[in-house]
Amino acid sequence: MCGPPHKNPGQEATAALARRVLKDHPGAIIVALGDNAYNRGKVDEYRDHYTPTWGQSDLLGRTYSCPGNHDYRTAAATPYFEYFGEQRAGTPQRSYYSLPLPAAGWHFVSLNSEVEQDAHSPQLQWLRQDLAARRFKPILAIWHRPRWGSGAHRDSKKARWFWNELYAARAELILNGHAHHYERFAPQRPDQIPDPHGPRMFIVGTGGRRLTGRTKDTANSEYARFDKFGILKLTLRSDSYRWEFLSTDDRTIDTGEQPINPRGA
Amino acid sequence: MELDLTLSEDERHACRRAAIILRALAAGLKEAGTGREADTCASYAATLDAIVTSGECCSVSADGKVDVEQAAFVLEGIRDGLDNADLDEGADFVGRDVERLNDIVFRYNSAAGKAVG
Repeated sequence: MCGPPHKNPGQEATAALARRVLKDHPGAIIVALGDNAYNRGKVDEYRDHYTPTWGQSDLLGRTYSCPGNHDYRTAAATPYFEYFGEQRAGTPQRSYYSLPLPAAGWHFVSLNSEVEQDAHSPQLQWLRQDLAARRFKPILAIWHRPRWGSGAHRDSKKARWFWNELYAARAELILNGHAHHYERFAPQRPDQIPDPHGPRMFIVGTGGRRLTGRTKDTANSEYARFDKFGILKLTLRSDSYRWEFLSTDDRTIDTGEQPINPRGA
Repeated sequence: MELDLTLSEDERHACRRAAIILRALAAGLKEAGTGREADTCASYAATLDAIVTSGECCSVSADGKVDVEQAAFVLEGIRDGLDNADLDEGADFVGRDVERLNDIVFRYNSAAGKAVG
């Protein structure tokens, strides 16, 4: 999302907005959805474009990320992994990770849509085990390429493997980037049949890079904006979650709340 | 980073078809007067051609991998355009090739991660 200002006009404003929001939420974390430094995720691009905005210590110190396709335009996305560090990004060898969000009682999973992710991949086998071990917790998962979308890059079939596992685990939330707009979907199954207990997916590609327009109406898309830079604020509670998409002019563009999915004892 | 990848027959066919589409697009863009984009699309096609001709076991460079990914993005646009025009069969056909190209990209990235370890 950060790069030369003429191609990334929203990066300073979204970082400033995040800072304003965090004043009232000192325990909150930031989730970055990949392609954080354009155009190739190089060391100098992180230094020159990410560090002055989203990479300031008050924001970077609480940021957890997943890698994007532009990060992989360097060898094995090494600058990306070194910039965020193992605890907040994984490593080139093991580029997916999870962690508890103890204050909320949720489980957070960061996946890598830029490497192998099919049924027999190490990543999917790890995901299965990770979700099985935390099956009584509400789940928030992130990765870069969305399964569906109404803007650019609107159909990444590979992500179905993540969806299958997360649906089986009754995950609540999926956050993706890649496409440069905001979009919220109704809870659904991996085959796009609406299901109130399926994951709710958001595309939040509004952190700085030039926005792109609508290309199609997608099934189960409940709300989309193609003209606002902003951030998604999620409030995770033990029994529910709330979302607010905030634009850089301090307006709440989209908001709602939903109970977490029922789980067996 | 130069890496050796084993490509399936499906993947090599996808590269061949993608190169054909990209060359046609490059020719059209050139005739329409957008030379730079035409040359870029032609260079993606050349990378895909090289992959096809190298056979089952193929050496892919970092730049070559980016070319394959960019080719997949161009094909995504063609897939989406066909879909918008309700030309479903063509959209599905191109969409399958996009998936195969992405398989190559993701396998390269996985191998690169292991190689730097």
